[in-house]
Amino acid sequence: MNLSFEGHHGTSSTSAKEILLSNYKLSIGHQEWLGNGVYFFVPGISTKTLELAEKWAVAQAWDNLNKVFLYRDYCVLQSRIEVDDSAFLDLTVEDGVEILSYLVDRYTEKINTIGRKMMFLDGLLLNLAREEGILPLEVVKGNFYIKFARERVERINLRINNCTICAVFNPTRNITSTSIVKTGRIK
Amino acid sequence: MKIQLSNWKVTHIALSLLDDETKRDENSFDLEAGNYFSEEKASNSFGVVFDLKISDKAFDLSVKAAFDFEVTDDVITEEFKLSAFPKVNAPAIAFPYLRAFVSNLTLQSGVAPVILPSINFVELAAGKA
Repeated sequence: MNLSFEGHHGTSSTSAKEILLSNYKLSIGHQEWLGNGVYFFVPGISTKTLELAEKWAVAQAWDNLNKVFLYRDYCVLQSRIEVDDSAFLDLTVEDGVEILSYLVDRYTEKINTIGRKMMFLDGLLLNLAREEGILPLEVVKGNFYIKFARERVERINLRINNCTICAVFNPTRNITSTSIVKTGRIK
Repeated sequence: MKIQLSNWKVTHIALSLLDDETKRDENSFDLEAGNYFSEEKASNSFGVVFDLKISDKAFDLSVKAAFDFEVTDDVITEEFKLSAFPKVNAPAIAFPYLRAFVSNLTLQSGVAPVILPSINFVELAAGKA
């Protein structure tokens, strides 16, 4: 393992207990920012990753469809992520973006063949690349604009990225330790 | 398991007087409590943070405070972090310091002194308060 860094993950206290007992579960789908994976806020364009994870836990608690809180008690987990340089894709640097451009070229025809209704998303490309063994992607990092509670309530839609996140595809292999670093309750 | 308050500090204060147009009819307050934990593995320290917002008839007061605790007879486990000790016991120990601070601050500020009521942290942690 060449690379090692800390990431913060905000979730409900109930989910935190399950994570501590039986490790993280993957978020699955092409709509996910970086494809299938467990998501963490990591140092990048913001160093306040614990704060971002807390804001995410609070934002995700609100079910806007049914106008209820899905949970009130939340936790921020800190995990150590370790990965071989060869299995790490950093989309915050030019080399990483070049690789993504290569994936766009490679999969354009295939995606159009599948159907024009399929959304041409970063997550789709990364999932395809992983599933077809094109790239040994275990951890992917990128900068994104993520909407937290305030951005959702006040409908703030900036184009400038506000955080760096990473997706870990195989938590058993790439996450070496996890602990709770903050808890709170939404009133 | 035994816990002990080792240190505390006020991390934020904001007091602003209301004018005749913005004065209210009722006093109210809102208290949020949370915990923070050390990133070190074999740590025996943790913290309680209070975020208090007082909406007095004549002023707004916001106070944030952090209280450091030590577990004196054990190390902190993940089970401990989700237990009643940090959520109920530690805030119950810390809150009187915050209440005394707010009383003194308001008294010394020339506004009506605020005496916060006792808080049932069992109910607060359960979402009933």
